[in-house]
Amino acid sequence: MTEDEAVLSCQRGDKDAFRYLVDLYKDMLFGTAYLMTGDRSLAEEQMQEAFLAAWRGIQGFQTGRPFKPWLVRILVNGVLTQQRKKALSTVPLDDLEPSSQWTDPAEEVETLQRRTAVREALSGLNEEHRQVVILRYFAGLTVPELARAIGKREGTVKSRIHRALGRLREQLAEHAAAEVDDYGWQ
Amino acid sequence: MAGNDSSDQDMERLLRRHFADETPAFRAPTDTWTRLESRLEREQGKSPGRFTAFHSLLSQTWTGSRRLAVAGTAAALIAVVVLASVFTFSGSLIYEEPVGSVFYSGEESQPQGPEKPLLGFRDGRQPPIVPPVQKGENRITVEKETASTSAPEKSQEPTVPLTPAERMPREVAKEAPSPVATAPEEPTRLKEMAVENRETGTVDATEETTPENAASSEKPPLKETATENRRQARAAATQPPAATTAPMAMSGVPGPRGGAGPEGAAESSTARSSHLKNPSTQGQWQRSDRSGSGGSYAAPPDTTFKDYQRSRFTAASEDNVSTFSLDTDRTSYQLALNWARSGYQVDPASVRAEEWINAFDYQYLPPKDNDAFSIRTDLIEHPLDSGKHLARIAFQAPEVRDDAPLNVTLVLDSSGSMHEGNRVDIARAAAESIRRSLGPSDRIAVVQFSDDIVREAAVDHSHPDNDSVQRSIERLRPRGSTNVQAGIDLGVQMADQARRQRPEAHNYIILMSDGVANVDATNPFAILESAYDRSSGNPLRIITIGVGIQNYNDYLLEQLAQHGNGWYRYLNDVDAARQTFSRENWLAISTPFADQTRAQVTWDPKVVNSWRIIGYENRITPDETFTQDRKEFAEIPSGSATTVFYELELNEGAIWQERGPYNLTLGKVQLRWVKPGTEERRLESSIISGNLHSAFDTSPDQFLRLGAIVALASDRFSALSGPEDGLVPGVGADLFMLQQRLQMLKDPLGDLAAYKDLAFLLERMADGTAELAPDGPRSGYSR
Repeated sequence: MTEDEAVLSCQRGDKDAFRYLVDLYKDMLFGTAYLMTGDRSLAEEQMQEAFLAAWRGIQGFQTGRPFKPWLVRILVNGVLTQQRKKALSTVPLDDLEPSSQWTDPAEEVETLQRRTAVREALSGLNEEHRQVVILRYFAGLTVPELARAIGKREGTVKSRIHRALGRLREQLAEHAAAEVDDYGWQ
Repeated sequence: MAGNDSSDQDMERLLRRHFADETPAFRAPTDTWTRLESRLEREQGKSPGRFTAFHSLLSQTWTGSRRLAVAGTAAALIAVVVLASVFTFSGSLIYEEPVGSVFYSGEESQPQGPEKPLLGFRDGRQPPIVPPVQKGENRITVEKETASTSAPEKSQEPTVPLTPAERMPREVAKEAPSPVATAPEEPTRLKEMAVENRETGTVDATEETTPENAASSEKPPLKETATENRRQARAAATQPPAATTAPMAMSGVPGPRGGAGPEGAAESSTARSSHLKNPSTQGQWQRSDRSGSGGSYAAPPDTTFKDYQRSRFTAASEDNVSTFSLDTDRTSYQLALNWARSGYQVDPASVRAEEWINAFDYQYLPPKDNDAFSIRTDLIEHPLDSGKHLARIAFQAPEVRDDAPLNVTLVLDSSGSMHEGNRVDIARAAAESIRRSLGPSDRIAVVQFSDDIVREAAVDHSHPDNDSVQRSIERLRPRGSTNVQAGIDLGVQMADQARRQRPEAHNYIILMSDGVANVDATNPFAILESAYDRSSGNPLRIITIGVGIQNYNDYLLEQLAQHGNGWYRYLNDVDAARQTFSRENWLAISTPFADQTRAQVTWDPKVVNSWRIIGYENRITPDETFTQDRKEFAEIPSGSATTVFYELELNEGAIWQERGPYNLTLGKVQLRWVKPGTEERRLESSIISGNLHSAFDTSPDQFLRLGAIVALASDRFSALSGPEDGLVPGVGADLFMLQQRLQMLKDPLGDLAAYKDLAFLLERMADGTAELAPDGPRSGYSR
């Protein structure tokens, strides 16, 4: 079953087809929500709501267009609405639990350091910048898809990404400098 | 530009790798589809919002109806009204603007010295500091159960066969409510006394409160039966351990922190009998008792508390109904605060969590009309126990004024023990403030007692400006021993007389004492028995005002008020006395809004696996008493609020499958009360609902968080007085966690005196707990 076929079946009320789409996108959706909110249960809630809204609105979805940006847009809107409503500031990402997939301890240390640095740099971005970084590099949206997902022009998205990457670079450099200060080596 | 592009590419690679590394943390929960599917099924063909709410309300009503079959037609009516209002509101919550109010609830002055800024009293002298977030005021129905003159509502109720203990002195019945009374191991002396004391016919307790019965039964003039009862009650009073130690012994309760278990229900009925190892815990909890290394500080000596067993978790499948009397006292908190300020450790036996909870003002909205309580419910994740939840149910009485005049009878303790500290000064200041707060249509009388009544000081009900009243108050001098019984007896006699002369007036008997009774009856039930007021239409209300630190009997004063249709306050200094009885406060607290106010919570066993009420141990009553009017149920003054917290274990699987996490219906709460001065009975009802995922630390309702902290801190701390001899693992850690949680509220609430006091008190409690368990809160040692 392709994505288009699944969408068509969903429009006929086929829940199995919807399950296919859910399985396909749940991790992406959950992770995006998690990165945006920093809160596991909130992320879960937002993911559920996004899928529900997608199901409700699938009749209005124009087949042939990519499904993913549409879904992401629903999610992003939900998260933003909730953050506005609850005035919930995004929690810094450093309370994400570390993953346990490394075996080489030396590499692990290096990876952990890098991950910590990137997390800190990410949490130092403003909302707009972080959003495009997450959607582009975590959710894997292309620039046109991203533009559709957040309702901005492609040019805007491109320049936003560019500025976000620049800012990240600065943050990482600051982090490295701080490390030198802290430990006095290198 | 090219350099920028290439470094952008580097960053992109870095980010992609980073997110790939982090991916394991980003996996959606495995049951994503299951949950989603059940929600989809429920949604099919329905407009989502209305359907969800309706579904849960409907099933709730069904659950309720089954139970309510017992209650008969009144209940059916509620179900109809519930449904009707569901349609009206389509399950939505009512949002309202917050109103100005204050922090410490009610009239009470904050228990502290005059140098601290006064803050936040309900009379509106100061604006609210933080706008409260109100979300769940969802009172569903108010129904008048107007007494149609004869035997109102009683005829339809199943007549609960009452044990002798319940039949006779209600106060004694309270000591041994039916679940325990049925246990054969409970042959208390009190019960035997009850049997011989009254005619043995089966008298429904509810009958006693109807005017017909009052008139047609033996109609005991106060003194005749009093003498006989008193003799026996006194005999009983000397034997309290027989009655009170039994349940402990037979329950074999392992420890106060025991969790939910199949035995939960059985144990909880034991807990309901509200007993302790020793009814007069004479300052038992002292650090030095345990460490033997000369405590740096300890609980004040010669204080008397009754240490009620904490309730346990009850499986909803076995018992899903919880019944209790409301409460507006806050003395236990003020005692603790005063001790901590005076350099004493807080005695865990003195902690009654409900009085701690109700010491704070959570800024509930006032009811829409002046005729009913507003009921508000919330659900929040448990801050100490992940996986559990806390439900808050709050009852807010409206501010009402009535024109009824007052008959006030001051009963002042002038015994030798009042000489300690500034007790007499406080009592005098309080008495004088009350006198000044009275209006020209009010009347005031004074009784003083030591070994016996101080004849020359007694003044019959007079105009408040009468010189002899003033003189009697001024000349309060301590001497001799303490005969509380004589004082109450005369006070009741005089009040009863005044009531006959002015049947339209409210009647207050205000006892000011340290509670250290040592002549004649010294047990509250014995004292009340001799002064028993059989009128229910316009009761005599016994208010007790405690003074003093050491040598103080909290048990006597609290129980006198609870079973005397009144309330109990503590005054720590002269300023507190003046504040509490300032004219403004006096007007509020002397206007009763509801009598015999009790609530019944019914949990939906499909959603709630098990439940546990925090505090209210001595206010919990057998479920069947909910439909009976009893004096021990609370008198609620105008404008005051009662808050109760439950710890819940929810059936999250079922919730996801059947209900969804939002606006989740957990059960229902009903409230019954009698309109003061009438025979009019009221019933209110509300759905208990909330959102499953309301994280504690991010909840915008800081007062909900504050209340939860107060509830859990007092509840956990009071476990230290339990059978485990104070060494309860985890209490220190819990207190520490709660301190951290309180710290997070510093921003919105830190300016409030109540916040500072609580922070100070928690710190002192945590210190004491650390001393108790020197190896740290979770030492790892087996016990």
